[in-house]
Amino acid sequence: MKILEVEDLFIAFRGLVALNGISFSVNEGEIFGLVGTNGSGKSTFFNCVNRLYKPQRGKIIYKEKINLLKNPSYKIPELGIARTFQNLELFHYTRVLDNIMVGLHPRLKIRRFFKDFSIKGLIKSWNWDKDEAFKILDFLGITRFHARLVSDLPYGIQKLIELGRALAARPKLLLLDEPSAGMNDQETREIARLIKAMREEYGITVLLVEHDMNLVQSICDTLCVLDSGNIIKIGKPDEVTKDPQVINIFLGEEDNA
Amino acid sequence: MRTFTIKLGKKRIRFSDRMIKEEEEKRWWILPLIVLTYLLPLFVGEYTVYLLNLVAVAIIGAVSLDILCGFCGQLSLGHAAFFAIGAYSYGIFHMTFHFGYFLSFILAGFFGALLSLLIGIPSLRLKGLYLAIATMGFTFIIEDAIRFFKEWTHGVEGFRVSRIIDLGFIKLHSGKPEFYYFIYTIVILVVIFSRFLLHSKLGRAFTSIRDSDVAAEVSGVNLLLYKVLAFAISSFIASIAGAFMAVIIGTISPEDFNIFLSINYLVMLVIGGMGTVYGAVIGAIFITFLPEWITALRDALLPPGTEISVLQFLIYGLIILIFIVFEPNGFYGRWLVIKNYFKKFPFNEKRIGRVAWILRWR
Repeated sequence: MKILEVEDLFIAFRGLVALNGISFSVNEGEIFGLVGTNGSGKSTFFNCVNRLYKPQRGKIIYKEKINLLKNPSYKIPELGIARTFQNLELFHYTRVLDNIMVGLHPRLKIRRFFKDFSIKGLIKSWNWDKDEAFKILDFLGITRFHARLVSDLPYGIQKLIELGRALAARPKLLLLDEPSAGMNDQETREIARLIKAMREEYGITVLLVEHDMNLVQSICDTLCVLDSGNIIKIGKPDEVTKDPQVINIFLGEEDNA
Repeated sequence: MRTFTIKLGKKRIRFSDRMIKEEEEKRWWILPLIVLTYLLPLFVGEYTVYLLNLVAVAIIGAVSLDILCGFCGQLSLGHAAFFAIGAYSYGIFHMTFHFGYFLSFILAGFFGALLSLLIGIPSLRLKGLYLAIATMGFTFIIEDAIRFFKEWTHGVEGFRVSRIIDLGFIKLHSGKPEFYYFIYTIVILVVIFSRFLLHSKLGRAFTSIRDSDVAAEVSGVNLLLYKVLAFAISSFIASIAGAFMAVIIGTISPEDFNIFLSINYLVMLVIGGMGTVYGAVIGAIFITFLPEWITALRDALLPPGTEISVLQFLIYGLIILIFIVFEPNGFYGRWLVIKNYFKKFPFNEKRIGRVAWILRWR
């Protein structure tokens, strides 16, 4: 089953064409990598999926029936799509636990409140949402930071917290915008492990934007190379990285070398 | 979850990360405080009780502004307008239409919430200082509207509102100590309500809008709905505070609800600690009692009868400056710093430092 189908997506900012009619599809359960040079439209595509940008043309079909472009942006997490940002967009002056709990927002319904309400929970200030947030923290292995302010924590942990906030919505499709940017080798390996574990534990399809080719090659099932808004090549990582055109883009023309 | 075990004799204790909590919030200290609040009028004079009633209005107002500015990050200079709407609509509903007390209070609240939509809906596009200017304009409009609709509001002559609230079994005069119990029950309800609000889905949505609206939207928070809700809840409570103000003062005129009232409430938040309910309460108490303390200071230091209006503004300005320079997070922020210092007292790594300025409006 195809979880995401992009058809002829076109967006231009005044004169600058950011995505020039791209089409591809993502199968359910795979880790799909989007790579490309700076300004090739990877993050723009994410923002289109999240409805932060409004494409001029094209369709994004989710789960073979829902056109995402017909939904307002705050409905997207409810449908099961969560994302992280390249530059952290955390709530810096609240605790880690509260940050994760904001991610639970689409899942917290009034019905749930009345179902789980108990005097004991009120007295012990323990309830469903806290429990759920701790499950996420346990999965990421950062439970010991739960009462700290986000702004006090190192960058690598902040990245994980943002990942946790996205996971808290229990998404079917997770958009990760450069999860390993600014992290050291060890943290990058940890992220790679987590992404694989996420797929196994929660059954999430991951759409990944990344510059680190080692990471991409090691975890992605499918790679898509973008260059200035056009798709150069889609395929298995091994095929794609051997493609001469892709090598040109990443390493420059052979003549100049 | 990382776990580790410790052997204590025959017992094996299994620890997990989750048990190493830095701090579980202690909430039950509020109960003795509530008891103290109810016992207080037994020990102070009638004038102080009257002042405490004004403090109660200030607390309700400051908490309502805190919901808007502190939780949701929408800087508002228009709270005087909501006070005015509450006071006048209570007056009109009760004195002109002869509705019941309870109904008039609730209707005043809903009327304020309704009019807050005028500011709440544009707030999606207006941010930070621009919203502050827009809300300031709203204050001026309401002030002029009160002067314009003379036949309803009696304009500058002042609108006389009954100072008695009839609860059915007892008649409360707002100058008398009995009124104190009534208004402080409302205060406690408002404070508890806003504490629950802060730690609910709604409050978390508000704080997420304050900290990063893009991330809030991506996490599924409907920005327009929640900003409008913040305005509506805030102005509902502010209108009720305004209605109480009308009952306590007795005669209201448009001058009571000018821009300085709005600024005064913002100062309460800054001095108390913005974004925290207790901070708002502390700030409201401090700022309302400040003129009294200044008068007492004058009596102690200067010959009786000296003109003090200059001194009052001087001290007022000085205190605001001191807080903005040295402790932007207010009394409550400083209290947290001191508390954290003494928690691991002999083993501190750092001396008591300044808390970082918390940027709330971006």
